[in-house]
Amino acid sequence: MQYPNFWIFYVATVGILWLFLLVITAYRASSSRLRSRGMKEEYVQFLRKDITTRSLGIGIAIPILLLVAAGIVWLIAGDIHQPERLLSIVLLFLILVIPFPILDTMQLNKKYKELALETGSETVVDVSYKILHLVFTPTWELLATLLYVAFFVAFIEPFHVAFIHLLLLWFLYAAARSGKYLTQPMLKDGYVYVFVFLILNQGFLLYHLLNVSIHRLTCEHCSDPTVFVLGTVLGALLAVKIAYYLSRYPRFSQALSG
Amino acid sequence: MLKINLSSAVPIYEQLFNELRRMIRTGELKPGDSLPPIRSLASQLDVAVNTVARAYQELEAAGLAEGNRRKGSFVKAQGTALSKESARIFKDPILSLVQQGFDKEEIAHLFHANLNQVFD
Repeated sequence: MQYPNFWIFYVATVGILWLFLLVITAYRASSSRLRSRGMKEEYVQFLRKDITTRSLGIGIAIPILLLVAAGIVWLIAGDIHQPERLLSIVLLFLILVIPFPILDTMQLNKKYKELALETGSETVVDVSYKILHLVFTPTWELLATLLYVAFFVAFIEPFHVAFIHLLLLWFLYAAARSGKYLTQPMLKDGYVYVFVFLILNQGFLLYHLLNVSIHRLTCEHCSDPTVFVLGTVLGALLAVKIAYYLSRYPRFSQALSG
Repeated sequence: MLKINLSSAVPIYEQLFNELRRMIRTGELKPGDSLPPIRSLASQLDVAVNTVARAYQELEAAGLAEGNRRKGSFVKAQGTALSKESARIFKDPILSLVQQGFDKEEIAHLFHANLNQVFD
């Protein structure tokens, strides 16, 4: 398989990111959509400005951080075009990104508290994250994460791109738990986004599992039926998990509306 | 889902008590369910630990929860028995009103009008 060099990867990533941001910002910052969720005018004004500013910030910061990560890898390894170097860049990039959402959430929580006090709005709390755990059971996920990592490390390669999806899964869960002083429409909106991204992300993980498993069955020089069987079993478990979470969506949605 | 109004004149511990009581009565919290650890709920709500502890004490005093030093606080069985009974008592007349063509708002209006008559 021919892997792209760093610059092709960079241009493609930034292009997809900007397109994604454009679509998601237009959708999320739509005043009619926010009002239809039952949000007060003060919240609508704040969220519109905040979503747009955040998208602009992400659109500028992520390409810069990717370049910084590539620069660090280039200084250490002297090459950024090999597939394993690209993976190192992405992992380093994820580490560089971590402080930003933490600081951002702290700022946002402060602002939400001010808004709740100003407008006299009710804020909601998902007690012990019971609603969130309808679509993300942490103990299962931890077990699944350990199984996937063990499978990839033992049979495929020590750093596989699927690890990014595993990291994102936990990142999304942590992000969903971090919001405070949210009104009901905001919590519902946020949780539904997290649900959609969790499912998409698990879908990508399933793709990687099936891809490596089928490759190990059809590969002329590296054929290994054991890896194919193990990978397929893990893939089936993942598919069952996705189906189970999807089947719980009506209950999840009902609990968020309650 | 627990609802709190930060700008309300009602103290937070009282709002918390009322909300937890509502959740127990409506079956959102079932008998034997453990209440969230005090520190964890205080962190979620961003309030003092003592505020949550006081709400839990009130729940225990009202016979809705029981505390266990090692295992934390639990919802008492009595709470749900009451909620199931209440749900059954309310559900039949509501269904009957729906069959007669009343919508949700009209039923809520009727309910409040009657509730006010009883208490005024």
